Amino acid sequence: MAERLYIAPTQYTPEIDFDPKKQKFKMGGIARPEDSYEFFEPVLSWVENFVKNTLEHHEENKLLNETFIIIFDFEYMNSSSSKYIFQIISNFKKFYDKRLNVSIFWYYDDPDDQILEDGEDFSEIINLPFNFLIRNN
Amino acid sequence: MQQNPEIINYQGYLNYQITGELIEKLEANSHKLNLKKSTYRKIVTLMVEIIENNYKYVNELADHMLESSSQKPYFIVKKEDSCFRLESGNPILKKDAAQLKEKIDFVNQLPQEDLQDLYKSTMANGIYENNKGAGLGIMKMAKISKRKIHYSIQDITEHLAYYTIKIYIPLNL
Repeated sequence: MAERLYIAPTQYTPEIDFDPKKQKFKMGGIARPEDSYEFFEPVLSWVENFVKNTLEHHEENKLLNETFIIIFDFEYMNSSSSKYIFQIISNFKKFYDKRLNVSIFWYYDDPDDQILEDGEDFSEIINLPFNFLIRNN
Repeated sequence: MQQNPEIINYQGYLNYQITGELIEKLEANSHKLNLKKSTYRKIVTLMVEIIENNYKYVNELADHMLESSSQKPYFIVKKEDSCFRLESGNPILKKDAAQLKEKIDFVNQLPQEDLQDLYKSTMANGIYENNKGAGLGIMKMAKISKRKIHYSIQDITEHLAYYTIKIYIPLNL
């Protein structure tokens, strides 16, 4: 099984907590790294490998009973980050395409929140349903 | 007392760290201005796109070129009567000016629905497509403001032009 990937948040980079054991994959905070490639490329690579290995090495019947929880809890993201976040979602979508249970939760603050529009765009582009949830704060 | 003063008025070269400082300044002012969280976030998102765009172009200029430019970069956020104005200026290479103009003119003539479609298809094309941008940042600015992007490009030297951009968003989005 892949090792958990944890990256602590900084003032302008998001927290990443991808925990294969719990099948819970969370990203959140502010996504405005100085170098989006440097920050996101290892994260994207981790997801690509995790999805590929999971689909290759697990028995399909077993996987059908499991649920992958993917949580996005961003305040805002710059456009170069959004391209990587989109690619990360695209990779998780491979589970959905294989008819596995995938639940995507996308948090926002109010209906005018830009991050809600960003999530709606992603969901629509990739043709994957998101659960949009108002943050409790 | 001065009416509608600038919330941010930064004159000089911008970079990643300064962007952070300006965001902090906006955040501090957002409480005084009683900004809705959603409005604050829209301004921050626009600010980041505009400033990153500003210093991305400036970083490509050789030092002697920058020294030859009498006009330095700046960034302003100002509250006006019915909107916020975000404005930025910076020198750019003349050879980049035509492509930049083309991108903004193209985005400006699109109805919102078509802009939305273009934004989505550009996003779907992924991370490997561009360096100076297929214009995702410019599209995002237009999408958030829901208004045309105001800009100008003026020649300043043989190799340099000065680019200014103004984005307006309603007071309480």
